[in-house]
Amino acid sequence: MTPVMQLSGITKRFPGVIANDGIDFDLAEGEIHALLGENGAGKTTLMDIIYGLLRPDEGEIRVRGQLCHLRSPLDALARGIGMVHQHFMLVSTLTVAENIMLGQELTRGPFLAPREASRRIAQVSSQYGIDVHPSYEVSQLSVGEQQRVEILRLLYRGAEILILDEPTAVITPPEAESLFCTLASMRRLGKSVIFISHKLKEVMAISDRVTVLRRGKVVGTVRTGETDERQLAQMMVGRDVVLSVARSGEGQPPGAVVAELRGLQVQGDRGNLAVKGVDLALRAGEIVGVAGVDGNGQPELAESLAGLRRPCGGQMLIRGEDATKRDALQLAGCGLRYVPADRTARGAVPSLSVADNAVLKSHRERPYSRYGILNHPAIRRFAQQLVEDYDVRCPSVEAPAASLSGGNLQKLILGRETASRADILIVEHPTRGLDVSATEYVRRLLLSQADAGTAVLLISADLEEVLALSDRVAVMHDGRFVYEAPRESVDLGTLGLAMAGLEQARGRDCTEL
Amino acid sequence: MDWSRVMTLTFLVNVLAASFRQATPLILAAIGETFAERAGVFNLGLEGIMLLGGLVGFAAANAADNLWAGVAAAALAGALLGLMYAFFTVTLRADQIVAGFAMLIISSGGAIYFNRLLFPSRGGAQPQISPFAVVPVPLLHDIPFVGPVLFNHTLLTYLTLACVLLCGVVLYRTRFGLRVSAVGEYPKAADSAGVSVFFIRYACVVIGAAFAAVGGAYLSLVDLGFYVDTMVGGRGFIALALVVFGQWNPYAVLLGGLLFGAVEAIQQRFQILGSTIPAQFMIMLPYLLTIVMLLVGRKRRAPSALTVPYARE
Amino acid sequence: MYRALKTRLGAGSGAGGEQRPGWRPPADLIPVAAVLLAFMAGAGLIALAGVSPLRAYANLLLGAFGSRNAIAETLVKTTPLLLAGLGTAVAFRGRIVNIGAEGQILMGAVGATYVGLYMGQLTPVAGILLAITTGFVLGALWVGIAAALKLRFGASELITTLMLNYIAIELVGFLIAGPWKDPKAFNPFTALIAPAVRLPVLMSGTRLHAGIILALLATAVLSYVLRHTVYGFQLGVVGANPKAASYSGIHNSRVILGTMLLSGGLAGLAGVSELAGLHYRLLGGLSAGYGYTAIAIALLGRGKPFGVLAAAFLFAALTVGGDGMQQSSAVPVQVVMIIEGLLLLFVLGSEVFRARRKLADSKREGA
Repeated sequence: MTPVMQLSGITKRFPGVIANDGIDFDLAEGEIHALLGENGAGKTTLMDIIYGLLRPDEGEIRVRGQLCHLRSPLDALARGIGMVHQHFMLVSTLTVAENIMLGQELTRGPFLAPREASRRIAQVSSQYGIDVHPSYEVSQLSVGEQQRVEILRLLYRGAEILILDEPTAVITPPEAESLFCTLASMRRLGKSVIFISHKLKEVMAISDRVTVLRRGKVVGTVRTGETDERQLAQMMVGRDVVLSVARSGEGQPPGAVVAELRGLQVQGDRGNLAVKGVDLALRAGEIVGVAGVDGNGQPELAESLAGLRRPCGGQMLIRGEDATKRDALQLAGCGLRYVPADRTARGAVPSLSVADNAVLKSHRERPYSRYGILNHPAIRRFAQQLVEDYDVRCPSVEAPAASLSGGNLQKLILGRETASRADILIVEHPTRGLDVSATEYVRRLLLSQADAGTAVLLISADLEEVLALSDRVAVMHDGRFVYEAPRESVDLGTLGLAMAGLEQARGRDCTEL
Repeated sequence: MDWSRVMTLTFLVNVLAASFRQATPLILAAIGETFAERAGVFNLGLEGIMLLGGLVGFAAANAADNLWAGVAAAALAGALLGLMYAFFTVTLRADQIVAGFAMLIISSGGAIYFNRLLFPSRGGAQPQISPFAVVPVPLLHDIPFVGPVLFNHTLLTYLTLACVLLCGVVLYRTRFGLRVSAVGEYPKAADSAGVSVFFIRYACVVIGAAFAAVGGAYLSLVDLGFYVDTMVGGRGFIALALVVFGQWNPYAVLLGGLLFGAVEAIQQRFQILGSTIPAQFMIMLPYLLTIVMLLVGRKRRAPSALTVPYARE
Repeated sequence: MYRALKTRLGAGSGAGGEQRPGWRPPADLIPVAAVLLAFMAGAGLIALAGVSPLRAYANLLLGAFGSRNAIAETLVKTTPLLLAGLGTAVAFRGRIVNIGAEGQILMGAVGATYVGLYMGQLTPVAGILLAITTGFVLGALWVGIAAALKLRFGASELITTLMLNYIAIELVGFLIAGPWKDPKAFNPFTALIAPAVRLPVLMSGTRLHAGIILALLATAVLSYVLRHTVYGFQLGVVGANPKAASYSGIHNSRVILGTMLLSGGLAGLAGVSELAGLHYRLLGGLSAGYGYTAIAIALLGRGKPFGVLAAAFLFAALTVGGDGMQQSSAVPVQVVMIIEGLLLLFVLGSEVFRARRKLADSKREGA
């Protein structure tokens, strides 16, 4: 039987990195096919290609045997491919019915026909067992309900293949259950689903087949019935990790405890609790690597450590003193340095010069300014030194920071933060988006900082990086540390499981539908 | 001041009726801008568009000896200005504040310039036209209280009220209105649903400018019967605040506009009745009210994509 | 180790300023092209009025620079435009939309008037200094209202400063017709201010007064402050990226408040200059739209003090020359206003093209 969709040899390159490398993938009719892989494995790129947002450099896409050149999401939808993103394409001020109908509204004369629309929607929703209230405003719905609306919207418009990107990341377990029932009924009606997830239990519960991606390549495709969680985790994480930059076994034993977190709790942006009680000790000269999938509280943890976000519970101690209420400037004064994940939004100001960015945080201090007057020669000298020492390629220190490539900007920021010896260095996703050489450089830098006695907290979604650089490895999941071990005794299987979450995804029996 | 004449029903009726008249140009501009902002575009140049509309309306009415020709000409002029503004802000994605300001200077400058050109004042009398007459609605205008307030106005005012209703219906009950709301709130979602963000934004900006121009024409064709450089007097800017106050809802904008009209009407009558409050403080009232409006009408329900240019990735 | 890394990198990655193929017009040419375009469009409008554009422009130049008096007049007009333009520009630097210069100018004049009417017994130096200080403070306070509303209630400073303009106009109207009205005069304006508070005339036989010195001084000082002080640095960061600013430990609201006050104060100085240097009395129409023109000037000057100086001078020349042009060629002076608007529009348009080009380039770089 021809697969409903077939990808052959899909390759997509970005400057410095191969996001998808010769990927072969097929999807059968009436199948739920899970796609597994860590951040940076290439899942998102692949889905963007299927969905028409990106065009592959090489390879073919066939839908029902026919070759496709998908130019846009609308194109893809016309072919029956629909995607449910993590940010739903729903207008929050409109009702469910209006959202579903947008662009294809039912009208009676010049006016909208909301009742007719409700009727049609009710038809489709009962077909798939998706429960929605057509007249409710989307902003009043829970995230799970919104997701249902998004799915229904795509089905209503004729999607036969549905791509779901981490669908259970934002919904509660009971809502996840009803999602699975929906998927089951879609499968029965002959629709196909590609299900991107990290949660192994769910993947095992709901999918028919699983494809695992690593570093842009397909590691393997297995039937769910013929594998288990352990095997999947190992496929995801991989045993043969080629490391060029690694923490050597010898090295001084860690020094005194420089910073300590006790039961730290931090609120997220949406009023939820993002960090739910973290205990952590950072020692001089030691690198603690925190692995974990995006969205489990890592940025909030880093921000509260750096003084940009007030913890709402627990304590933070710096050298034994309570530092919970200190702000960014004060913490910087205690020797704390922070390199955020988002270079251009927070860490640097692209429109200002390289020199200005170099003193972004230190412009108040001598010798860069005195009595409120800046000392430009001193600033320029510092910037030049920084650029040399950290190999930042730029035409001149007066050039705008926007002219730097990602790697060079990151080097600049890191250089800026580590120029004066930091006691505590917090780095978030330091090598994200960087090419190979810049990545190596940055990693070497972090190691040398630790060798010089800095306590380093490395937050990264790149497991290989965490394993290569850290003395101790921890995994953050749902606002807590769910695993912690010194590097030598890390068990990859357990690590993978911890990252994927040990959540119960109860496979409910949906035969009654 | 003679308070005995204020505390009468006649005074109240008088003021309420006058509110409608005073508010009309403001409401027209604000309703049009509501459309534009609902779609995500902010037009700072309303003041200038109103002035130019006032001139074009007057000039056309004068030339054709027909008031409605003036109205039509003003609408057309406004539409053209809107097209130009849309080009800069929607296609070129320029910063809306700066582009709006440029629009302001060009349209006000243009109005003043072309006025000098068309009606050079060589010491003679300024050309005048007989303004729109009041057209009382038969029968209805005799109803006590309600009659004089609602049914004793010029055709243009009736038209304005009808427009408010029309705008409300279009915005809330038609396909176009739905798309406008979607575009202003989350253009990416609208785009992915197949709605043309560019077309919707263009259309709304043109509508907004056309309405504003007619609002300006009201001033010269109904209020004054001639054109004066200073006749808009900040109404274009007040309209912007009015949209915020009305929380982008045409009906609320109407009410807010009437509130303004009432304040102006009261202020005028108080002066005539010999109020001891200096005239200038009374004239300040509408502007103070605008500031207060801003504090009351928070930007809570602003269309999320307002002033954000849209670019398909 | 770093050297080894450098050689390994070679030409592959990390070259921050590699040249892209294709000719790119140098950035400085673009505003010049915009200016030329605007004048060409103006020529078209003049032709519409039935006058030869060349003759009209010749008269424009003569009107602005043709005689000692003309140059003096141009400088006289430059003064308030420059001061108000500086104030507006400094606000724009912090992404603050202060369009209340008109009202702030008036309030500055009010302050100076008070000193001039009631403190005339001071020595000339003290008198002038007090007038300047009072005008600055009053202008700052006037915009301070809008600043407070913005920081406390999130009220859009665009609308509040605008409304305050109209309120200031009425306030002045009240003062000159009421408590400060010159009892000896029929028209509404104040009595002449004391001689001790008047700015000295610089060129005999002309109206050129010391206000221009004040304006030039302000330009130089502001330029230094923006480029060489910690405050100037912080303002740049806050305006470019408020998130990065707070990440760097900068107090955004303090910087915004201080900047708005400075902005209002500078505009207030424009009012002082017009009052104490030109009119010597508070009257209606003291600020003939200078506040609004200042916005255009600030935008054209790209927010750099010396750029604002150039733009202010250009606009002053256009205005003074325009008067001459109207007299000699019977072209309505408002064509100048349209040229100014077109100038703004074209420069704005060129900015957009540049920004798009930059965006396209940077997209080609990173993933």
